[in-house]
Formats: sequence, C-alpha cells, structure tokens
Amino acid sequence: MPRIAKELVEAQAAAMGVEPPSGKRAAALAETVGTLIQAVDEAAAGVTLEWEPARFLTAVDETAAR
Amino acid sequence: MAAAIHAMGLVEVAEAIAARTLSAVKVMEATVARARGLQPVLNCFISLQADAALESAAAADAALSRGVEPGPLHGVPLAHKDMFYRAGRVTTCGSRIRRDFIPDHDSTALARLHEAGAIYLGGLNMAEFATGPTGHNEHWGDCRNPWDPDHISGGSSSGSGAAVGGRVVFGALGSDTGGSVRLPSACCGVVGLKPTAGLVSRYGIMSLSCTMDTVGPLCRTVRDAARLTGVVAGHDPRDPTTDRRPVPDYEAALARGAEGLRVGVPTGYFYDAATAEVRASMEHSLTVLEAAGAEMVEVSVPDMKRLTHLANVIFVCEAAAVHESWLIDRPGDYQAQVRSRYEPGLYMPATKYLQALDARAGLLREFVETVFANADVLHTPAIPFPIPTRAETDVAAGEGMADMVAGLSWCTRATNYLGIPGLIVPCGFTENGLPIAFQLMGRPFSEATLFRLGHAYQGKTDWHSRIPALEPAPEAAADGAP
Repeated sequence: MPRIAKELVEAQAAAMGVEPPSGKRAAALAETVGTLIQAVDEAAAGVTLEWEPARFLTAVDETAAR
Repeated sequence: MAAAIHAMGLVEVAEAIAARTLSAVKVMEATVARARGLQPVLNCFISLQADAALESAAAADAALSRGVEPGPLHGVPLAHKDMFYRAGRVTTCGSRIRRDFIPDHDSTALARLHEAGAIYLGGLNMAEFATGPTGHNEHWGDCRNPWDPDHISGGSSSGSGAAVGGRVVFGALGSDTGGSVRLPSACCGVVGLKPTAGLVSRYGIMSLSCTMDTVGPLCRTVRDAARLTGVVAGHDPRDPTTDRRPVPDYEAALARGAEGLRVGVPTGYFYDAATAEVRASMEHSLTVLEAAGAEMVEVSVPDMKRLTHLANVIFVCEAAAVHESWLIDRPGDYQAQVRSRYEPGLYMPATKYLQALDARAGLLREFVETVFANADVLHTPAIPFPIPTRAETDVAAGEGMADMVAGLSWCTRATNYLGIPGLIVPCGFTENGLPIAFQLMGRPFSEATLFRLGHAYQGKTDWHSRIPALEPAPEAAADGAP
C-alpha cells in the first residue's frame, strides 16, 4: 500500500469541502494515516477478507466463558 | 443523617429503602443537597433535575406504602453521562453542536434502570462527544477530580467518575470506546465495568465508534456494579448486536469468592510504562488476591500496540462517518483536540477500515488462546502512572502533553477492539493523593468471574470505603442549571 501523501490529504479535503488543513497539519494527517495503514497491512497479511460481522460474532461466541 | 447517607453504597441504600428503614425522599434530599453543594467544586453535572427527582422519590415511598414489590433499584438516585437519550429532554453529548438536541426516544439502558425503580437525577458532564480521556471540556467546563480538583477526573465519562467518586450519586452509567468508563473510574477511585461487546444495549445513545462502543456502570463497590450490570444487561431487539444468552445472577456469583481462580500476570507491555509506585501497588494487590485464594500465573500477551493501532483505524473511520457533515459545516463548534481525533478518518481508505474489522476475529482468538489458556483473568494496571493535573494534560501544556494523554489509555484501548470485558478496581493511592487501580480482563462474557475476583479483593481491603474530603458549598443552585 503506497503511503498517503500530504498533497492527497489537501486534495481530498478540497474535494470534500472540509476546512483546508494547513501544510503542517496536512503532513501530520498524512503521517498518522500512513502509520495506521501500515498497522493494518501487517495485521491483515494473509487474512482473507470475509464478511466481518458474522466472523467476529462467531469468534466472540466461541471464545466466551462457559 | 445526610453524612451517613452519602457514605452508603448503592446496594446498601437500595436495601434500606426497600426495607423502609430509610425513605427515598430522605435519600434524594441528601443527594440533591450534596449535588448542589459540590457542583462548584467538581462540575460533574450538565443538568440537575432535582424537582422531578424529588417527586419521583415521593412516588417511590408512596408505592412502598401501598405494598408494591420494590425493584432492585427502587428509589435509588442515579445520574448518567449526558448522552443517554430521554424522549423530549435535551441530551447534549457534552457538545456545543448538540446543546439543544432533543431525542424522540428513550435509551434502553435508562428504560431498564427506570423499570428497576432507579430515579434519574440528571445528565453528567463528559468529554465532547465522548472523545477524550481527561475530562477537559471547553463547552461545559472541565470536570474535576474529587480527590484533588486540580487533577483530571479522567474521561470521557468524566462526570460519572466524579459524581460517584465524590459520593454524590450511588451509581452512574458511562460509555466506553477505548477506556471511557475505566479511566474515570481509575482516576476517581471507583469501580467501573467495560462489558463484553453485546452485553448491554446501545440503543438510544449517540454512537462514537459503532463496533467498539459499550455501555457500563461506575459504582462505589463491585457488588454495586454487579447489581447495575444485572439490570441493564441482556438482549434488546432494538439493538440487534446484543447477545441472546441469559444474563447470569452476578450478585449471587460473588459468594463463590476467588478460590481456585487463576490470575494471569502479564510479562510485557502493560508494565512497560508503569512507574515504580504503580508497580508496587499492583504487586500488593496480587498478594491480596493470592491470600483470597486465587492462583497467580505468568502469561505472555500478544502485540498490544498492533491491536491499539487497529482500534484507532476503526475509531477514526467510524467517528468521521458520524461527524462528517458537522466537520464540513461546523468545524469551529468542536474543540480543536476533538476535531483532530476524527480528521484522520476522512483520509483513511475504506479498504483499510474493512481489513481492520476483518482481522478482529482472528486476533481475538489469538489473544484468548494465548492469554486465557492457563488463566481465568488478566490482571494489569488501569493507568500506568500517577493521575496527572488538569494543567499537565491541557492543550496549552506543550511538549509531552500528547504522549501523556495517549499514555492514559495504554492499558485500555485494545480491549474494545477485542470486545472483551474489563473491570476497574481501586487499590491504593499514589504519593500525590490520587487513586491507583487495577484492571481485570477476561474472556467474552466472563463478567461474573471478574466481579467475583474484584469482590473478593474488596472483602480484604478498604480502599473502596474511603471518602474524599470535599467541602460542599452552602448555596443551592436552581433546578436544571447547576
């Protein structure tokens, strides 16, 4: 997954109509999003995307205290 | 009499009212007087409905006179984080944006408390839109810690922690998406439960992060929390995510004690940021639990930082979805710190959000299989360092502030990603006079076990019965405007 660039944050903010972030803020947002994306990429490596709600609720049920 | 009343616990006062050794009106009068007297000190109420509460108390006494069978909370004054809807009544969510918001339906949790006989005293202060671990609020004023008002109350259920810790009300509901019940409980020296995902209905509360939001009680004792949880838990057709299994008799389970329970002591992560003072308190609490009959077991824990990052991905996406239109139309009506917590969600690819959700099942299994293979519960600090001051955690504090604020939820945030329960139990004080607490985590739907262990601990200690030295102001405030 490519990193999120500061320019992408600025362009997306303009497209959505949110208050334009300052250059410093856009860079900070890009860095935060990039860190979080990296965590997802590491955690999701090798995980086949399935229908989440059923999978999670099944896991909760199967790991529950008896 | 008022001094004796505010020192009582929820179960104790409920039983006294039911036995008619204490009238609901007497209890309410004492509670209202303390709420008004401490409001200038703690700022824990957003709205105080004293007249309506006193009328309800009179009705509760009259019902007992007629021979009506009392519910488990008959006549007990409670107040709740101001985000639980009551049809036709303003619910602010601690915000400017919803200052005048009037919902058209009741929350299931409040409806169940009402059916059990509890009396609603008012809406409690909270972090704006339940976002923030300290209790700062620019719109409604900062909530303050009953043990020292210069220190944070914790958040986001700040008023719930301060009102229960200040012995104003006998219990309160809060919401917990990353620690928002547990952190104010730990800061204010009270018991707090973040329940298993699906145990308590979220119908009629404002969503922050819909897959991680939970509703839980803050109380003076574990027994009190067991009673409140028993009332609000259980399937709700209006919240299809609630579980259908029967609700255990949590209070009855307390009698089983700690004998034979295996307490997992983590070898990493949870102590990485702990101070010597907090470590010593944790070690002492473990010796107490051991003396109560529990067995200590060392356990390794999976990568908690990864879980915290994944929780943050889900949080920013779901919160940004809820707040998008206001972020566009009314950005100046948010506190800057709150708005900045949601903004990353506007730029997060949807694919990453879905992958973070999808990894949840496997990581829950991994956590349970690793941590609870040889332990019934996991014992950790609640907050790894002494409770900071409001100034230290204010946006103006500068360098180090952000790390300190993030560090508050070091031990709590991942729990919501996993969906497992966490119980906070006070276990001492640091040198600055502020409470220390431990957290007990367990498998999904292991609340009865957590309560057993916490209750056994409180049977051998007296931290929960200590009362902060607060001087109520003599002047009473007008009803509805504390």
